[in-house]
Amino acid sequence: MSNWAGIAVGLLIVAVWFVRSAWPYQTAEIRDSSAAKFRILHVQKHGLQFDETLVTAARDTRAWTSRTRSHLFQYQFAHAIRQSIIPREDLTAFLRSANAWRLQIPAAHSLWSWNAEGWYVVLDDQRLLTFTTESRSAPPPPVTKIFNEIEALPSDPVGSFFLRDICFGFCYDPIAALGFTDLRGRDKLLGSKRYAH
Amino acid sequence: MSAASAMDELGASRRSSPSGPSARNCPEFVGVELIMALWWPRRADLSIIPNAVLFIAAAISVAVLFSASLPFTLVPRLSELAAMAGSLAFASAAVLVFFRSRIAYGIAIAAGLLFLPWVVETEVALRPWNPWTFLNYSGPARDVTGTQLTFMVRMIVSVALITIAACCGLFALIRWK
Repeated sequence: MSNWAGIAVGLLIVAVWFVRSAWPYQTAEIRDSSAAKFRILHVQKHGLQFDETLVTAARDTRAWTSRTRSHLFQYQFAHAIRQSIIPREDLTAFLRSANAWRLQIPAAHSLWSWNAEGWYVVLDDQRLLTFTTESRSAPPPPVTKIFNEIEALPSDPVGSFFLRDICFGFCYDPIAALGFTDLRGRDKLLGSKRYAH
Repeated sequence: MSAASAMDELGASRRSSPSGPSARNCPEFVGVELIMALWWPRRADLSIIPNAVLFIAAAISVAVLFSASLPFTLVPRLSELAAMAGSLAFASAAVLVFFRSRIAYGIAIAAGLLFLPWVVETEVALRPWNPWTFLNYSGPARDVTGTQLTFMVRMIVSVALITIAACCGLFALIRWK
């Protein structure tokens, strides 16, 4: 009996260590400091499966489109990145309209409904906007417009990569999918000093 | 079980034996019975076998962990020496648990505590990362090498085994008292 108690307490200690260490999602990588002008993440959840498309635009009109398909209870998943060039007038028009938005935005969170859809927008790596079917909010038309435009642009493949989540998909959240996989960048975006070092 | 108590038990079994003195007086039989009494744990003490397995597994995991890390550190730190001493302590506890259970459990707890400073030191040194975040590694390889990944996996396994082994030692000691 004492053996089982010892094993149970030992496993509990390891579980607490795991939860405190693995959440929130981060990778042991040094991120480059090149700031994106905007990032738009579109997430579609179908049961245990997530289809994510991330569009990232730089100041110099380069844009990257990253597609990821992940499942809950899956450790490793692939994502492919393509690069394109946005017409400068489209970029300028989107940024002008975005600066005028005055929205009451709910906090960013993962999608938990069986079927759900979410749009996450980050402007200048500082301002996070969230629109999900769970919060019954829809993105402003310029968001979907420029997202669809960038997706339709001719693009060159950059490469295929893979992501891993030690929580089997439960720690990988929209903030990480937007590219904020280091605690410093995450804290800066969320305005939190909780994980600052 | 000590040799003295084994002899007592042997004497008691011989006194209570209904088969008579003919077979049991045979010196070879007495020798086999003594060895069995010394080495085979009593039915009530079968719980020490999982503990012994846990202790030896913890000792091996730390030995494997430091066999990988030693090339990086030519002069071991104090915490590393303590952790390696902890590995030896676990190995000795795995053997001693058959003879002096109470002492073995105490040694196992001490071995776990000896390993603790190295774990804390390594966690602090890795900040803002930790061993688990290395398993979130995304490819292709840039900053994380296979050696680091292997080391982190070994560290997690070692910490888990040592925590469980030390907790088992603690609960066994509580039960003893």
